Amino acid sequence: MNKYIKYLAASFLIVAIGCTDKFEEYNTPINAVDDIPLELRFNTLTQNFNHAYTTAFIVAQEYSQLKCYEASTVKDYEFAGYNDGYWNRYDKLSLIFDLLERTEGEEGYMKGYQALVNINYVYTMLSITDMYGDVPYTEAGNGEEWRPAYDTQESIYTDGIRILDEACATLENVTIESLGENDRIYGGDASKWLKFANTLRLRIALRIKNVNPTLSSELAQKAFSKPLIENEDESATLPNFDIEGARSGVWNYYETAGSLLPSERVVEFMKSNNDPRLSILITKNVDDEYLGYPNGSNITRPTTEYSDFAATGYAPDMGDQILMYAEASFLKAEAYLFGIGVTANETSANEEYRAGVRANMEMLGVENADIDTFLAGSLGNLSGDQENKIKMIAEQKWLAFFHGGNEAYNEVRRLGYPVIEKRDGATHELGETNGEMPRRLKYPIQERDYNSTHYQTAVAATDNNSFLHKVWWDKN
Amino acid sequence: MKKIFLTMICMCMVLLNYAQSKEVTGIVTDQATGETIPGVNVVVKGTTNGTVTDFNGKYSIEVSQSNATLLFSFVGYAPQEINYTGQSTIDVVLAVDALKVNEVVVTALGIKREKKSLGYSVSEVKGDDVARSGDGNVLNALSGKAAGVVVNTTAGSSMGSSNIVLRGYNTLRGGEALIVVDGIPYSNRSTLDGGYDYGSGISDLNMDDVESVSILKGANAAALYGSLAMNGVVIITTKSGKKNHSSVSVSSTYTMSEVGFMPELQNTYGEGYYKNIGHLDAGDDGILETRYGSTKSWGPKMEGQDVRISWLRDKPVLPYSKQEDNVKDFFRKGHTFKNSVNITNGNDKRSWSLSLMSENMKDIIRTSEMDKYNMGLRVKRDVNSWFDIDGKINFTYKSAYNRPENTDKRGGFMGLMVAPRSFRNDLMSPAIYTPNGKSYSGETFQDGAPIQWDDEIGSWGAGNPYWDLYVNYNKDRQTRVNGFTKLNFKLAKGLSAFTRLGVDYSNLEARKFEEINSGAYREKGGLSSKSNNHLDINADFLFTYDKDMGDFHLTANAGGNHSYSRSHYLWATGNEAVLPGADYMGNYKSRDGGDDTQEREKNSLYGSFQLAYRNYLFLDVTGRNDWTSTLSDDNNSFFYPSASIGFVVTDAFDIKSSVLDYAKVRLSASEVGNDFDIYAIKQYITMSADIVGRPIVNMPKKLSNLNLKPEMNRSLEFGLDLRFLKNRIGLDLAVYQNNIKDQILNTPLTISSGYNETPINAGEIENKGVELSLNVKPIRTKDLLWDMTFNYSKNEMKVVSLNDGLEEIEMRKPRNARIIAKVGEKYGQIVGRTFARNEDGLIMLNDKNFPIVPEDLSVVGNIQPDFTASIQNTLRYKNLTLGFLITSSFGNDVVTYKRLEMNYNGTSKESVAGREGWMAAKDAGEASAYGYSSSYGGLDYLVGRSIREDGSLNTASNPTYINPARFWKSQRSSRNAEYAVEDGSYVKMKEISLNYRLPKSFLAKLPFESLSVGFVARNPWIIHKKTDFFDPEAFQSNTQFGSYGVENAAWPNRRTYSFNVSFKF
Repeated sequence: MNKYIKYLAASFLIVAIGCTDKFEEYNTPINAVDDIPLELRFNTLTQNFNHAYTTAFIVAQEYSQLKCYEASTVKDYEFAGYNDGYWNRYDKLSLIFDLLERTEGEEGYMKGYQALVNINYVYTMLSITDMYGDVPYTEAGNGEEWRPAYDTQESIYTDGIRILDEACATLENVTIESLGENDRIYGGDASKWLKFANTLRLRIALRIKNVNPTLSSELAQKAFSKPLIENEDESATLPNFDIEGARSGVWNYYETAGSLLPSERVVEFMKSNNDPRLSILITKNVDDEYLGYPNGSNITRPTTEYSDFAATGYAPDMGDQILMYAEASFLKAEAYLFGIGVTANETSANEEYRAGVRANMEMLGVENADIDTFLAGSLGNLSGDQENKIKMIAEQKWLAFFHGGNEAYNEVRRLGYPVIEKRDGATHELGETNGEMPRRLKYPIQERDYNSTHYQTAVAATDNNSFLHKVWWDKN
Repeated sequence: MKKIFLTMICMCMVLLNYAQSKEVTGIVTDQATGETIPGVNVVVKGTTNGTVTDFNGKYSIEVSQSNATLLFSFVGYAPQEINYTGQSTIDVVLAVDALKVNEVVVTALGIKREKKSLGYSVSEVKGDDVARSGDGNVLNALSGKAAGVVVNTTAGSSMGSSNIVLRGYNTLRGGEALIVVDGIPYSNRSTLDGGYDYGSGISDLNMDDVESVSILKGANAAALYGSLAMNGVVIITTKSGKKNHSSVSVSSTYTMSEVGFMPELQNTYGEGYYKNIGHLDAGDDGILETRYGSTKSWGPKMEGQDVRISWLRDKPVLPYSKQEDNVKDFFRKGHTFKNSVNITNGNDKRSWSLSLMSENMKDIIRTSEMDKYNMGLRVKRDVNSWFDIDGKINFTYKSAYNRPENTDKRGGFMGLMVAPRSFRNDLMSPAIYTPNGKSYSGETFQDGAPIQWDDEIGSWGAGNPYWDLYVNYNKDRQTRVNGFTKLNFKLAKGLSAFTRLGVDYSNLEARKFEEINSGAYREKGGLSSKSNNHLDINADFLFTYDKDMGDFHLTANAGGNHSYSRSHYLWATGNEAVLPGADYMGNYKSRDGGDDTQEREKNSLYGSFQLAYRNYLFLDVTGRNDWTSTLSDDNNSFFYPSASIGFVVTDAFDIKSSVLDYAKVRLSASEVGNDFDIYAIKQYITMSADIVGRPIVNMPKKLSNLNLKPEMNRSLEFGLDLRFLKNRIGLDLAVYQNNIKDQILNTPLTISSGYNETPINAGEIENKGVELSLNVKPIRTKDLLWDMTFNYSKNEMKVVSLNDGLEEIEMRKPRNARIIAKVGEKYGQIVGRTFARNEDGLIMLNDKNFPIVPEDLSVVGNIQPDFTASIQNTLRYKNLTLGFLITSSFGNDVVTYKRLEMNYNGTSKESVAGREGWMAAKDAGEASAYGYSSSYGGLDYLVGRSIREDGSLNTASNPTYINPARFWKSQRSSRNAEYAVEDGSYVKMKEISLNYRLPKSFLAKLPFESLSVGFVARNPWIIHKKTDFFDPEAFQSNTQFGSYGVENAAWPNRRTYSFNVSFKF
């Protein structure tokens, strides 16, 4: 028997040496990183203030009739996939919770960092609830509850205001260390975050003015007591480069979404007011005219017969407009006009209105002389009754959101201007809202399929998941 | 098969031969086939004087007695005695033994066993039957040839993947059978990239090398192979050289292929806008015009009238005439040439076998082609009396160009299916537009971009498939090297051992180029390049001990296996081309890339124990323990046993009946454990960078589960094997039940939970089924044989329970429907929105006379068939053999995209219904041009089957006309699942073959040992089907579990005709 021992032993060795104790190693992907520095996590966090330049962007801009997506069924509100756009922002919560945990119980500048995380948390959650109404909040995003229950929009707002107040208080007392390049919005200028948070407070205060005037005015008062965004340098923009190239999401969107066109409404609005922004934002069509595409229209003509977005209005490195000086001014104008958180003051309201218009025009590169001419015209000063004044503020604000995201749609719903009329069935797609502008997005299919019990409750509370059901703050 | 026995017999037989007598010679042939039989024992009865026939069936024996009896015997044949009275030549014809069933089959770990000793079900398919099928893929050739076997192929072509499923899918993540070639697991991984199917590993196997295929269906049969074999095993044995024999065989096959099935298209109405049915508006000069965005077939009747295509650059005025062949003309006849050579040589110490194969295929889709080359060498050598070596190496190289894209995306078949029925092919293909000298040149839009005629298909847009054919391309090269060395030891009497090392390495390089202007989502062009390497190592050893103990016979095996696999994946993409036509990475303004490596390991120890009593009662017990790298330390070791009993009733009770030849019952029970994909137990944060180098932290979207346990398949099988009337009727019946407990799968989560999915032990799945295989030989004479096998199988997969309070799990979500696994129900329920119906079953219409499709979901079908059946017939007259195979499936439902899109686009026959009525109403001014608001319009679909809001019945005499285009559009966009689901039942003539083997007498003058010519038609005829939109046997865009039950606008199946010449010398 001895003679085969060596062969046998040698060949068994082949089997034996194969067995390893590398099971742990095999379970770790090569591109996993153990210790990602905190500042890099914050880099992504600040990036998460972005707009969703995909279907979500279409929805907000289509419904508020700044843009028109010519080729798609979105125009008759039938395309269910569009409802996912904002819902998918829930994917930002895992980083938020990760950072809240990492900064929990810390003092000093780490506490300030935690405030930044909380600002992002509130910003993200409100951008979701604004679109749908009641949505998961307390049980959402932590992976512990696979089928999170829904919270009312009111409770999300109430809790968000509490968190934001705390964050503002922290930032007032704590000087955070600069994140430098890892702060994608303010490039490391930490002092601007308080202004950002505070302006966000004013935005929220006005958002709820019709449903909780007391809280609204209390919040506005707090906001006015602290510095707000006061110049273009303090505007929050995010150069959110995409993988397609060194271009911002919004630039990329205009370039690649072939059938996206400026809406007839926005073109006509600028044309009729001799607005100098027209030639900057919009091109002429083949017939050398400014012609916007009518939203939801039955017509089918080549897109070359319509105006397109002018390259002068956006640059490859133009960032997402998160919270701009122009918006801050219009918020203040509205607060002064109605005396929310401040004493009503028509002069201040008018000044802030003019500042908002100027801010937007300057940002777009309109010549100073043209700005002065415009401000000397009929839209240069608030006029008429309160209703007309708020209409003027709302319409200018709407136009200022031309490159913005969902805020245009939020404010059209809240303020009721510009008026989006019911569509004419003979010439337009009516869709399932029978021609009315949707007041919200529908809960997405993934909720129906993977969170059905809570979904059914939510559906019952929204007139069967109707486009026309108004969210809590929408009293218009 | 029988020729294998010779090797065995030669090795184990010692025959003595006494001289000084008279020599008798002769040839032994098979009664049924007329072929010679090698290895037949020839013994002078009552003596030890004997010999065996050689490879040509010849023998010679010295007989000393003047009066003797010669006994001719061979496994599987009835022995024959011949009285010797001094003849010098005795030729013998042996008949297949009607009474003894001594078939030997290859079982787990390559162990050959008598079929009668097995306690579980095994089906055998012979190499010849495989080779004769006319398909270049071993698995495809198995379709319909055994009960309980489902071969999944793609609608693509022979370039695509295929896999085999035994007794239905066992788990909620699929479950194809393990393929084992010469004892080593053989990877059949398929690689997909979007709609491109790069084929699966089995196509690397040279068909002509296959000697036999054993199909071990149940988990019982496979317990020794472990987890991989949970879904059964297909054991393929390839040809090897034989001792003291050499041969050269050559086989050449030419195959012609053509479109096997075409959806039903309408040829009445041409291009026109769906909001203006039946009409075209006139331009300023009075000539009718088709307009931008009108590229659907809702126009007027095609009567050759002049129509201007106003959206084209030159605005040509063309006759508006039906283009019945515009889809057909897209295709060509395909041609495949395949040649293979096998050379074997052996002396008494060693043997070798060398195989060479080349296959050159041009597909029915113009510009699609594939070349395949295979080389294999098998060497066996006896080193000494206790040690021999067996080794094999195989090399395969494949290169493919323009694999068809099997989705509804641009460039796919859908682009043709929705092209307007008045569209001339030359609008799409001939030379008008030449982007920088590229060969394509179809018509262009006014702005110079090539035409893509629909951007509302799916989320991308179907377009001009000629563009993908001639301008864009995809190409890939695959190389695979695999082989093994096996060392066999005879250690002592009854004790032997082997060790074996198998290595399987493959590489796929794929490249995909999209030119500038390739539709809305690739306007700026793109290039992708990837390389995928995969390595499998299998090392194993086995000790075998064999002992006779009086009435008992004991066999024990003990062994171990180490398996390791590693994949490495490297990719790069380029976006936005600088120059058109420059298909290299440097030409792209932005480039992106990445890599990934995945490794896993499994180690196992196992043993088996077989006890036979008097050769009629057989008991088998096996046990195996696995250690896997993919589960946590607490759960990564798991043990599973099996036991089976085989009992030959006729032998045990010595039943000698003229009716019943043989009866055996089998019973088995087993467990097989299984692990899961890698990265399920831990989650990781990863980093990436954007284009300007800024960091991005990627939080995990998959929630890990450290507590995952192995899933366990418990199965029970009862079987019955009966032979009647001298083996003229054979019946094999199997009844089984498999329960998978703790089924592992990824369950989708809503993103509001923070994650997209999580792996869970989801619950219990049950498969129950019956398999019946009936073999009848109505005619069995010397010249004429008729052999008929009927296979029937019924399998039902049911969801017994789900954990974590889940009621249902979504398996996949094709458009308009969801396919789910719901507790207490059959797996694969298709649910979705349906027409609202009143209590009489009538479709309820709304105030606009459109059917109401409420939001609620209900069950509209199931993807599992009720049963499948096949009939295989072989008729042999002398040297001429005719075979045909009929396969069928009943009761399975399919979610179809083609119906949705073709009806919406007005190109299908079905979309014609109701147009006339609607147009008449509209012309009479009784209908509004656009709205839902008219009470007229029309659709046969609803007539007689629907009820209006006011309660009146929608009948032919009092029809409600609605806009048919609106109808189809609304059903598509309302995601009406009822309308998207069709019955996938079919009966199909799968294969007809004719083979002629030249008679020996004729060959005697030629240098050939054998020569045969054959003809095979595959997919010649769909005898019965329910759908107009796809070939119900081959509609999947790939073979992965996720595409099961979904027709995703795949290309038509091929019909092929093959001519083969084979000879051996």
